[in-house]
Amino acid sequence: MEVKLDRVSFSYGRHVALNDVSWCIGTGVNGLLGPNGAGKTTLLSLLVTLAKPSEGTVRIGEHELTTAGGRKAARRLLGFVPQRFSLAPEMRLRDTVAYTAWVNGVPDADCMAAAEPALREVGLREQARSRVRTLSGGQRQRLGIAAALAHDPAVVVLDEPTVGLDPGQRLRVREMIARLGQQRTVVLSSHLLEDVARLCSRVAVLAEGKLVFDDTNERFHTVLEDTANAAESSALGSGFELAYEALVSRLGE
Amino acid sequence: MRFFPIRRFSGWPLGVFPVLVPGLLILAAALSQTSEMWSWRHQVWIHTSAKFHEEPLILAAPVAAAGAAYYAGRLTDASRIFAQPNSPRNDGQLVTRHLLTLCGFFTGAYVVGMVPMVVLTALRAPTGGPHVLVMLVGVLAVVAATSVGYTAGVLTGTAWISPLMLVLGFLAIQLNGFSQGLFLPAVPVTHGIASLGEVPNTPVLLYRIAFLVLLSTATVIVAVRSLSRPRRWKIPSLLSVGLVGALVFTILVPLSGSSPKLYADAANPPRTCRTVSGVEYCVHSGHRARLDTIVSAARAVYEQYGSVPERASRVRDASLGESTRTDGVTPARVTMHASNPPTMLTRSVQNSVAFRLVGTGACRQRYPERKQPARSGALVNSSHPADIATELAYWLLGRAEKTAELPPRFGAVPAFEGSDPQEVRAWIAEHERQIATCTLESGP
Repeated sequence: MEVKLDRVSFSYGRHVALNDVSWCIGTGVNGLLGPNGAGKTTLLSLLVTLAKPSEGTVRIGEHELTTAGGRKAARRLLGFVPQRFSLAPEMRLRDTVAYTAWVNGVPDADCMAAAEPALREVGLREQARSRVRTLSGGQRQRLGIAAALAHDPAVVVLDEPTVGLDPGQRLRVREMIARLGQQRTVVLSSHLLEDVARLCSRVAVLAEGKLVFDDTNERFHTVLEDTANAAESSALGSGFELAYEALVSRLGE
Repeated sequence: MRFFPIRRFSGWPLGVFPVLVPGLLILAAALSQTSEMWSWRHQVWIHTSAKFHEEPLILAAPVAAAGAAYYAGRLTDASRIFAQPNSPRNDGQLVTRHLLTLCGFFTGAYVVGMVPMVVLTALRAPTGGPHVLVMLVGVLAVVAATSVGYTAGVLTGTAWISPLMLVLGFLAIQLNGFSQGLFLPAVPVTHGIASLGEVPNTPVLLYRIAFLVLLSTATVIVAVRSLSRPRRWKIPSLLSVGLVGALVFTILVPLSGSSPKLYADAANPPRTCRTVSGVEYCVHSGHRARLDTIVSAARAVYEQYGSVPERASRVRDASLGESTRTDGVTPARVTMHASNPPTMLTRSVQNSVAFRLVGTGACRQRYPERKQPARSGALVNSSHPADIATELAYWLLGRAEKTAELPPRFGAVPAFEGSDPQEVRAWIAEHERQIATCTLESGP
């Protein structure tokens, strides 16, 4: 499903968080990169209907998000996993997912049935009857994603989904996100280059409220490596991060 | 084995305990606070109906508020993955579902707890029927407490608000007890007893119902509106301010005048009368089963007195209200409570008749500053007419108790100690005029 931002601006009082941003994405994992304060969270808020743009339009499929009716209709198409979320430890996994499915518009009778494929998709099917309190940090993150998937949304918005996970858990979550991107439009906001490098088909970079880069992952890597060479830092890892910072700085200019 | 058992989505994501435990506590409160009425032989519909908004609510309402606050605190915190402000059903649908579950359990438990009392009243009350609107006040109070607690849970997003709601609810529901009934129009519990012969004051009753409906509605609207915001607390909108203003106005209007009565004497209560040995006994038809007890208790006193003076020839049930004073003779008034055993009724009737016979009314008029001694043991050999009248009353009561084989309550009566009953009766006959006017100068 196509998600389109057309000349979108957004301000918090006098502070301009987004400035004339146009972005069009489709099926696949779409990375959204940017340093702190670049406007990533604001852009995600607009996408998931938590805020309305000061100027411009946001469209999800056929639904225009500047109207109340459009936002209401679009919400059923959206699955959102915020960076920080909590779960009720005393609830069972299946009840958590089924209840979230109901909150997201699934009819009563279908909620329990909807929980099963969602838990299978994130690899938690076997623990369906367990309590949330028994899960590890990575499993909780996957449960959050399962909850956001239970109503089978066409667009999935993930805000920093791998933050705080150990390397093994991070790998598992990445595999899962990659699978999601095969059939859905996934927006992945992250400050981790590695997440974007391994998962995304397209990458966008925000800097100071402006979209300074929007192209394929391959093109992003080419630009990044050029920047890294220019910065005399060719190795991945910390050098890669330095290159990214240099890239953002260069694109921002 | 199936992955999920075939069942409809329960709607109880936290399991059944968070609704079941408060529900059971409410049931226990309703049962325990009404159980004393189960053994009453004479039930009264107005009393049973009023019980819905009295003692059982003191525990039930705070428990409902605390239970709902816990439920909302666990499920609606904005950080929960299933309580995101942009979720399609995170609005009136969610609140409706939660409150239907909570109110269903809590009010259901409350009503079930009242069932034994209502059934026994239906079986035993000789007249009348349930006052549905009076009962509704109690049920609506549980609904309002649930709504308020739920909204507190939504606004704070934490189950820790639950104990606070328990304490605040406990204090709020008893405001009338702390303020001599100042909040009677709005706060259901009055700590009063409605008795036979009284009817609900309809305007106050309707006001209470409207207030509770308004309170419930306003809190639900606040909950719905705040659920759709990432941060539950926000500068209130005009609508929110209007709702709170309407609530405050609703509370303040009745407080600005004198506090109204919740129950008033019925205009023409049904009565059952009987005349025995020149004494007319009238009781509310709802008390007719106890007329025989009243007649025999009163006759024992009249027999000791020796005659039935015209001024004391009426015995009236207090449940007949103002109508007892319409025939020019002030009657001996008998107050009956549904809980009173026959011996207590006998003593009450004899007390009332004895003091009517000895001219207590005249003594009160003639010597308004003089207090009546609490019991005969406190009497000294006084020559004051009021004291002599009081001693005569206690002598009559002491003699009547012996006739009825009741355990004696009174000590020695100095002015009549050692007197022959026949001589006392002769003395009474001689001094009837002085007794009637409270001008006795000495005993026999």
